Amino acid sequence: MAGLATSLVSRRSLMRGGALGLIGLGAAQLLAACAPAAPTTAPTKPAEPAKPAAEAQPTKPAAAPEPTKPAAAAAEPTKPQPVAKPAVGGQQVTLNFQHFFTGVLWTDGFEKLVQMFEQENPNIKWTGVAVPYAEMMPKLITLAAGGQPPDGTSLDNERIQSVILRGLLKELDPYIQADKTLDVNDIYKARFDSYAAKGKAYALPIDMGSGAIYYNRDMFDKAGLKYPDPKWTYQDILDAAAKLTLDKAGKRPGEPGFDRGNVQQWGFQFRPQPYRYYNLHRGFNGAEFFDKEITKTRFAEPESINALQWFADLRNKHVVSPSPAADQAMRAGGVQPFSSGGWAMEHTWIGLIAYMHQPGIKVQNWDVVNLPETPTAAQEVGGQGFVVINNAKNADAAWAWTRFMAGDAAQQYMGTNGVWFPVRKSMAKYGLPKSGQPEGFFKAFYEQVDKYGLACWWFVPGWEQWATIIQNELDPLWLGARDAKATATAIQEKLDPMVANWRKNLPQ
Amino acid sequence: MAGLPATGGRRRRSALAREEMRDGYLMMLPWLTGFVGLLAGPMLYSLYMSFTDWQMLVPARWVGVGNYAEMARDEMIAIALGNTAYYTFVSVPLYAGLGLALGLVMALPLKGIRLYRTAYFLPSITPVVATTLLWMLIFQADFGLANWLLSLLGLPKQLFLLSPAQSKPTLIFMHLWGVGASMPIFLAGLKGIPKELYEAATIDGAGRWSGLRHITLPLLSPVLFFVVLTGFIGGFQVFTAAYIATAGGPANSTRFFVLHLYDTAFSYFRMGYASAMAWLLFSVVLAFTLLQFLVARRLVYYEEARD
Repeated sequence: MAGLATSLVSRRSLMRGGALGLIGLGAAQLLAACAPAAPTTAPTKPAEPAKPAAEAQPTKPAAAPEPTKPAAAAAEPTKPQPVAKPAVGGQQVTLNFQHFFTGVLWTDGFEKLVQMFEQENPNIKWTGVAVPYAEMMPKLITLAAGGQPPDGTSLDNERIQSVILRGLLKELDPYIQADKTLDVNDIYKARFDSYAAKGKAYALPIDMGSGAIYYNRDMFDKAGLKYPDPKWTYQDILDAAAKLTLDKAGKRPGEPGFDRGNVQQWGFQFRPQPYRYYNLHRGFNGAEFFDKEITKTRFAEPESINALQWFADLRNKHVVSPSPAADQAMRAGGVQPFSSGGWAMEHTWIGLIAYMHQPGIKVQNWDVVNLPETPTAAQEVGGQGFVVINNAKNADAAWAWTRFMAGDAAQQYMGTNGVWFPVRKSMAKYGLPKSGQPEGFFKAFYEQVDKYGLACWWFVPGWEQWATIIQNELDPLWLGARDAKATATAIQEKLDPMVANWRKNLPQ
Repeated sequence: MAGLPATGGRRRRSALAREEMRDGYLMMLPWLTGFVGLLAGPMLYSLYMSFTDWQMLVPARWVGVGNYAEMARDEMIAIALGNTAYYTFVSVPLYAGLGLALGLVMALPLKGIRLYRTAYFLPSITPVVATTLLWMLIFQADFGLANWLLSLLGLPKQLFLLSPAQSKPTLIFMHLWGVGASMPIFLAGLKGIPKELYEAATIDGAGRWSGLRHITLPLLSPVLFFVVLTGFIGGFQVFTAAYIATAGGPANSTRFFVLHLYDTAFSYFRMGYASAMAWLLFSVVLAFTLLQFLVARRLVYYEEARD
C-alpha cells in the first residue's frame, strides 16, 4: 500500500534463511558428535552409592596407615615395596579408567590411592569415569561396541568371563611374567583363578570378598548358648537359631503362643542370591548347581533337593530365618539388620565388618565364625579385579594402575582404611580393624579361602540369564509356595536346554 | 489474463510451484533429518540386527530368521508377553474409566474445583522413579502403610510386591495413582460439548443418566478413544516400575516384555535377539492399534462428515 514502509526481508526469505540456519546448526552438531571423544575426568565426589545397597561397604573410621597387631594366624612378613614399571617409556599419558568408586569409596579410599599412584608414576595422569555399579557392564560393552572403550576397568568375578570370552580383555600373562616383583602365589588362588580363562590371566584381583557367619554374642549369652565353634555343623546352626528366634512376647518357635507374624529377633539369616547361597548349598551335602563340564544343571539331584528343602525349611517350617517380607521390613530405611539386632546370626560377606565399625552401631559385642567345615565345604569368593581392555590406547598405563593396586602400598592402605580387604596373604593382616574385632577374622574369612576357596566354573557367558532364572524360580521356595522338588524340576526344565547350548552362543 | 502468452503464464506458475516446493522441503529438512537420523534410521538398523546374532563385542553374524524362530520357542517370551498383556488389558480400561469419572466430576461447577483439579493432576507429573520408591514403602509387606490400613480393618497382612499373585495388581494400582493425567484431556472434551444439546434433552424429559449415555459419552468418544489408544501403546511398554520395584520378580510375575528386552540386550549381551524382540513388540502394538481404529469406526462418533 502506498505510504507504508516495505519490509527489507520478506517472510518467505526469513523462513528460508531460518531453515538454512537450522540445517547448518544441525550439521555442525552432527559433525561434532561424530568426532572421537576425549576421555572424561571423573567427578571426584558424585552422589551415587558405591555398590548395590545390599552390598554397600561403608568404610571404617579413618585410621593411620599402621599395621594392626597380628592375630595368631598372622601371615608372612611384609614384602619389599615393589617399584611399578614406568608406562609407555616415560611419555606423559592419560589413563582412562571406568569405575564405580563414588561416595565414601572415593573420599575414604580411592582418591588417596589415585594420588599415591600418580606420585609413583608421574608420567601417568589418572582420569576416571564414575558409573553406578549396576550400570558398569552395560556402559562398558556399549563403549566397547562404539569403539571407545576405557583403558581399564574393575570387574567382578561373576561377570568377567562374559567379556573374556568375547575378546574384550587383554591377556595379562606377559605383564605378570615380566614383573619379577609380583608374586602371584601371594594372591589367594581362588581369587586369582576366577579371573582366568583357558589357563590365561585376564585380571588381577585386588580385594577379598569372602563370606562367614556373623553372630551376636550378647544374644548368645542371653539365650545361655555357647558361642559357635569353628567345628560346628549345620544342625548346630539350626539348633542355635531355634533358641535365638524370639517373637515380640519373647516366645520361641515351637512354644505355645509363638507368633510367626511378629518375630522381633531372628535366629539366622542367609542371602538367597545364587552366588551367595552356593557356599551353603554345596557345604551342606555336596549339592551342586552345575556339572563340571557345564553341560547340564544338577538342581534336580537328591542332594540338591535336600539342600534346598533344608534351607527353605529354615524360613517356612522352623521359622528361624526371616521370610523375604520380614527381611525387607528389617532393612527398611537402609538399616543393616544384624547391626541393629534384627537377627542373631547372618551369613554374609566380609564387607559388613566395616559397617559394624561405624559410630552409633547398636550391636557392639559380635564375632564371626566359618561355615561348618564339612567334607564338601566350599568358599566361593568374589571381589573386584582390575583389567586392561584389549587394544586400549594406554594399555601399559592401565597395567601400571592394576599392578599398583595389587602392590604393598595399595593393599595396606585399602585394608587399614577399610576401603576393601586385601587379596594377598601377606597383606591380610591389614584387613583386621584396629579394634581387633572380629577375633575370628583370619580363621573365618582368610583361612577358609585358603582351604576351600574355589573359582566358580559356571560363571560363563549365559550365567547372567541363568542366575535370573534360578533366582526367580527360587522365590516361591523361599516364600513357602512350592517345595524343593518342584522348584528343582522347574529350574532344570528351564535351564538345561540353555546350559546344553551355551557354547554355541559364543562368538564364532 | 488478456495479452499474456499462454506458454509464458504456465512457465511462471511452474517456476513458482518449484520454488515453493523447494522452500517447503527446505523448511521440513531439519525435522526430516532428525526423523531419518534418530528414528527411521535406527529402526531400520535394528531390523537388520534382528536377523543377526550380535553380542556387541564381536561383529554381527547373520542368522536369518533364527532369532524369530527362537522367540517362538522361548518360554520366557511367552511369560513376558502374558505379563504385559495382563497389565495392559487390566490397567488401561481402569485408567480410562477412572479418568473419565474424574473428568466428569472435575467438570462440575463446584467451589474450589481448581484446587481439586490441581491435586488430582499433581501425581501425574511426579517423576515415576520417585513415586515407585514411595509406593514400595507403602506396600512394604511387614510394616507398610497399606498393611497397617488393612490391620485397622481387621484384614490379614498382604505380601503385595513380594507375592507372585499380587505383584501385578499392585503395580497396576500404583499406575492408577497417575490417572489425573487424563483428566485435562477429558475436561477439554467435555467443554467442547454444546450446552444446547443438554438443554434440548432436558426439554425432552431426559434425565442426567440419559444425558450421560446419549450425549456426553458419544460426543466424548473421540477423547476416550485417544486415551484408550495411547494407554494401550504405553501399557505394552511398561518398564520403569517393574525395573525399580521388582526386577521382574517374584517368580517372573512382573517380567514384562520391555524389561526382558532390556535384560536380553544389556545383561545377556544378545543385541540381535533383543532387536527381534523389539520388532515383535512393535508388530503387536501396531496390530492392536489398527484393531482399535477398526473398532473406532463403529463406536467413535466424529461430528465432521466422513469420507
